[in-house]
Amino acid sequence: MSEKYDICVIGSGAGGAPIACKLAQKGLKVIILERGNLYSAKDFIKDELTACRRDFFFPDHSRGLREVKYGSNPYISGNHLWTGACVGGGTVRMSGFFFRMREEDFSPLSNYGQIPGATQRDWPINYNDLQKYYNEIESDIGISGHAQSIPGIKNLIPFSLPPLKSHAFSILIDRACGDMGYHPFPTPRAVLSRNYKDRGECSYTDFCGSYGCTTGAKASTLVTYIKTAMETGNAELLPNCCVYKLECSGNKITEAHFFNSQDIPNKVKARIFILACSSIETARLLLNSKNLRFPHGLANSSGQVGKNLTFQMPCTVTAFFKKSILPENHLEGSPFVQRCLQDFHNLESDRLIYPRAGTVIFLLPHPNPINKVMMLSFGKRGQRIWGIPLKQRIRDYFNYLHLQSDSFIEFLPNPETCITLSKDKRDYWGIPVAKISIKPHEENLKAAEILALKISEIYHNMGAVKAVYNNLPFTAGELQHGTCRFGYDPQTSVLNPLCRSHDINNLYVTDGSFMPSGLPVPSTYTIMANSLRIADFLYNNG
Amino acid sequence: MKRLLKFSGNVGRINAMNRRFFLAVTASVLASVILTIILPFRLLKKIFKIFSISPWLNEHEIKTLTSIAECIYPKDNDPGASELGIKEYFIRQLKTRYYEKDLSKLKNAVFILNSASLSISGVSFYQNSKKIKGSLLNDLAANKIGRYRYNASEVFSIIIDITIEGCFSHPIHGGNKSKNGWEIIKTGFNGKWFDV
Repeated sequence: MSEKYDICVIGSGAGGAPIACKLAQKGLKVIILERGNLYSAKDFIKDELTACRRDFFFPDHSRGLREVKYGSNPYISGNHLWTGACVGGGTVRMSGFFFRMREEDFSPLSNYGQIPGATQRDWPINYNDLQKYYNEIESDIGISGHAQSIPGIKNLIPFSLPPLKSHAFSILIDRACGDMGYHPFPTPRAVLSRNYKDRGECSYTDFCGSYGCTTGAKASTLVTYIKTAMETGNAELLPNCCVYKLECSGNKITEAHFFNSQDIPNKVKARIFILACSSIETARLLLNSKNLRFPHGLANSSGQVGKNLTFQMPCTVTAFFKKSILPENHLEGSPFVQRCLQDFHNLESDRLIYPRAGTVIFLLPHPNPINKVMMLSFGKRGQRIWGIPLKQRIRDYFNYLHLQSDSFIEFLPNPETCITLSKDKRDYWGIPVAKISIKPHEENLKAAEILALKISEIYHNMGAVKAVYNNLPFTAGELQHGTCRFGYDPQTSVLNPLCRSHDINNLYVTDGSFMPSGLPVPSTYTIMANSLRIADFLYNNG
Repeated sequence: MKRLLKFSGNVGRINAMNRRFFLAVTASVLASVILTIILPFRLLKKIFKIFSISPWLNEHEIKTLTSIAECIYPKDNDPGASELGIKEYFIRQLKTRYYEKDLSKLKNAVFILNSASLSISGVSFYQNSKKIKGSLLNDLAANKIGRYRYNASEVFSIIIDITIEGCFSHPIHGGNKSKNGWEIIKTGFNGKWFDV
């Protein structure tokens, strides 16, 4: 492709789509390269095997190969830790939990000092720098919630849409938490509770997280920013195109090389290149683009590309209730519990040096039968259970009603959680795959245990028969950050505060890679807001 | 010099003849190999592909796997794997790319189990009593059966996973006939039923 574009955006998810859209709306010529398929609403079937267990949303084993190590376990190969490889990226299959960061979340180092074994840094921006863009996102896509009840954020404008309807469990949560001095509030969601602009309201099927939305109520970038970008006539979208190398001349990127849908190598020229492939793939692309000037990876004179990878530290606690606690028709109202707590951003405990946890979201367990039975087929020691004992376990489990809490604990970046390139494994196209090491910091593990106890107390106050802490030693891969952190110092950061590479003048990174610390909230809203911030800067500064 | 030239000319003619002879013989041998070995082999493969139950598993292997699945998810007050159509699930799904890397492991597990079964009771695995089948599977899970090319307990784990998928996936994939697999969880199912 010899035609030159103003902007080449690599990735069409939360980090790439907003900036592509805004710049296209301003008249710039934008090309969006996306490695995954372009789906429409009719492609999104509510089938667990297709959507959650095969490669509908993820690259297949050979195209999406990675090596992953959890803790001190050996590396395993497979298509692990993909957020979503399709137009819209992970936003197509997100649950749409949209929370803003608080002012204090931007300064973990200043507030708590250097934690031994951790590499967290303060952000070079603060809440005021993002506030306008959070508001703009809310106006663009519609967020359902009750802004006035959200703690810790000043001057929050009311949401355009009221909260989604709540399941009967919300009443029990409100009562129990109120008695204990906690402050539950309706979970803010990027899912429409009413018709908004040209999208219809939610149909409450509960096949939300992990599935594509068949009505367009969920604000994936596919039905919002990508759609708007294409309507400008200034944006071109190329799905099924995998970028494998960035060509550089001096301190400028000249071309992005990619394999198109027929696996034929191709390239695109642009004035400015924006990476938004998710933290793991962005770092992998930069490391694979090394050249004589950047022998350790493009834009990597700091040596920080691939380092400081963070996820969402999980803390899932499941409560078991007798069925009599709710009326038989309890599901007819809504399958969404729609309650969350932010009383545990600070978690005071004698056991903790870093007294931070994060947002707790209550929800009904996911309605995926295969996943549930698979979980029940493992014993406490990891042994497989089968035969009549398995069937009995299934019956025992479903004799109860279940309520689950997912917590978003602030993951401490550390030297042992990072990505490098595999020396021997190659993907389908022969490109070195990402080699990912994950080891949660000891402080995060302790915080998860302490938080699990507090949540269990809430459950018992609600009348739960038992509460089980799902003590998984590793994280889910949906929310990825770090690997190209931003900052003022080129020696310790990859990007400047405007997410531009310190080394390469026309390279920007707008996925979660720029974050220099973990977040106590789901990061999608912040990634999107930052993407708009960078769009604003690029438009105003040529 | 003339004699030398005449001699070398004769030698050249003889060498040319030998070369032609050599090329002719080689071509004949190659043609024979192609016609008698390679082509029939390819033809046989095609014929096998058309008439076998699955391109990848023969009938005996499918029967054995179905029998293993019935042990993993047996019938009691609720349907077991056989009644839920696990055989159809195996036939349709195990030839897809999703199970490519597992296929040789599954075939090897079937072979090992049948060998062990023959040495214990003189019959194939699926012809045994429930007790013997259970005992053999326990030994497989504990890596106690014979010499095995792969990690036997890992492969048994794979078979459990595939069985669960077959019993609880949507019927369009071949198993969970009439959604009867979901009956055991119906009272605990939180959302609307899958509509594909």
